[in-house]
Amino acid sequence: MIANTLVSGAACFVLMTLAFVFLRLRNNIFVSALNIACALLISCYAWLTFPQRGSEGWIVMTAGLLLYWVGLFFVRVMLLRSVSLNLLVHLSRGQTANTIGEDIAGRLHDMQTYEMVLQTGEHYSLKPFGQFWSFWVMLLYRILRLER
Amino acid sequence: MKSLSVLLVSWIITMIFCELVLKGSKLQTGLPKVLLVYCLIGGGLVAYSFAFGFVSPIAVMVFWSGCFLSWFGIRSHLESSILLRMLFLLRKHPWTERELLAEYDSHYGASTRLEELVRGGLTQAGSNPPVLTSKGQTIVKVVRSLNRN
Repeated sequence: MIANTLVSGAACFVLMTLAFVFLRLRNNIFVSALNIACALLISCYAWLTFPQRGSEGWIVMTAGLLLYWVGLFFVRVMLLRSVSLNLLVHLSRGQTANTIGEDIAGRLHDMQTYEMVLQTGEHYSLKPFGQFWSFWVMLLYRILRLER
Repeated sequence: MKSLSVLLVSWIITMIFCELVLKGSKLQTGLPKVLLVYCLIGGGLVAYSFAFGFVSPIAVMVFWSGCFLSWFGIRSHLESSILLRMLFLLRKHPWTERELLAEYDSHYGASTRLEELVRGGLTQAGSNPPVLTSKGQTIVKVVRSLNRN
């Protein structure tokens, strides 16, 4: 019984890692092949181990797999959109492109798409949804000393 | 639930230790130190689970891997995300795109990022144009292979 949770959990972990390596993250970072694969794998794991649900090992394994999914998602987004990593790739090609301006324009466009900011003439301001997330960002910046 | 509580408390303690170890520096600069913290505490938890049957060591390893990757991903994102920095700046007052670019460039622009690459051992200090170290070249190879179309 317990082996079922361990074997299924370990297999799910390995398959999620392979999905991270081989599946692409394209335009929509949320509805992506990686997220769909991880959701399906964890669902299969939960279905296979359903009789052991509630046991300590099952709870820890399931929590671990969910955390791993979150981590894979954030690392994948970072690999795709990180300014520092893209700068490093440009430098490896002998280029010194400064794309900060384009990146900011792109992020402002993203925030408009996600209903976070409102553009009034030349000025951008936060919508209520943006203010909600901005509050949590400010709090985390203060806790982690990232304000500057 | 007792096992999960112990693991979650261990994770919180680990995160606090990592912040103390980083001492306000960037994650990419202090990555070896935080990896050491996670390995030491994670290793202790696995050893404890072997010795006292706390919960399966395999479950602990999967959980701890999830803890590290989530923390690393979210922490990196908070540190470097342009979108989150824009959200933080826009909280103060409305900005134009030009003002946002000037503000961002003054603190987190290309020159600051180049200095961080040197501090992280990814480019050679004093080289102009910047030259990648072997560590930097390895990172580029990994990024290219994971982002290939």
